[in-house]
Amino acid sequence: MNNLNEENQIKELLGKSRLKMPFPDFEDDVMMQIELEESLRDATRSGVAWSWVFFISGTVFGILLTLLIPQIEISFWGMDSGELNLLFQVGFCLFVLLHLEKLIGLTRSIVIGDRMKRAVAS
Amino acid sequence: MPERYVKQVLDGDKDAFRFIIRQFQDSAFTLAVSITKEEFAAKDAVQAAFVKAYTRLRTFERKSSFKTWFHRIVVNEAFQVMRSQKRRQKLSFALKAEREGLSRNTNHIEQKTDDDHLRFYIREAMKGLTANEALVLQLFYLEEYSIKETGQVTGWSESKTKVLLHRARKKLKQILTESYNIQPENFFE
Repeated sequence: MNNLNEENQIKELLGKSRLKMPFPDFEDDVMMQIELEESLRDATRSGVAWSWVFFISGTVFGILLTLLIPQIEISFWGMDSGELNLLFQVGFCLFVLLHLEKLIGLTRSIVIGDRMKRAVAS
Repeated sequence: MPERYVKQVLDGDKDAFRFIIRQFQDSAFTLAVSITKEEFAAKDAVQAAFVKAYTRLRTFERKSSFKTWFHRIVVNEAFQVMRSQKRRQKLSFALKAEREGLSRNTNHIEQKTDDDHLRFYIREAMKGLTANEALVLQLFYLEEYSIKETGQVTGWSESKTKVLLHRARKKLKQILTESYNIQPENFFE
């Protein structure tokens, strides 16, 4: 009985520590921040789409170069076309592997987000 | 009630989120202040929590109520703000000095303090508690969460919640009595 009384007293006492949001523009600030976040997300989405376009065109261009370099007789810094081709292929593989992983990760997060949105909406 | 607005937001009605903000901003602010002990930091935490709640609304699985889910975000954001600003140490010094000053000023005040004074002293006493102690009191007594629900919001085990609650109650009473000359058991008689 005493404990119950004490609990009620603490509850009533703590009720007085309840605060009101003292910033009158808070609601608008939050909505503005949300707008900003959404526009950033849209920008990311279009950025990822363009990244795929440039990645694919760069990959095609790279493959063409690896095919073309051995057929051209050139030497650069004491390297013949065979060595240049090898160097280019190593660089090209590194570029493809590093960027492909990042692009897949970004695209996956966008696609999963969209799927969840559709699932919740339906 | 908030679940209805959640559905509206997910259906594309962004303005429905304004109702959610209006409904939860005060409780979220109270919780955030109990952790950060500072209004501007609390505002940042609550704002970040609302934005996060909006962007992650589709991940709300309705396993708990929206209130519990949202308060968990608020608590996480408030702890993050507190950590990033590293104010704890500065605050403890400032609070100690402030409390010493207040205790000198309030010793002569009679037991029957008016409501505004009491409100002020309780808020100051809450600042004297650690973030976890203040948080557990707010969740349990103000938001009326059970021990289990408090654990869901904070991520603590039930035993940790009980221990913290016991310690926080004791410390709050001690601060009110020693620093502000207020004895809860006498006050409501």
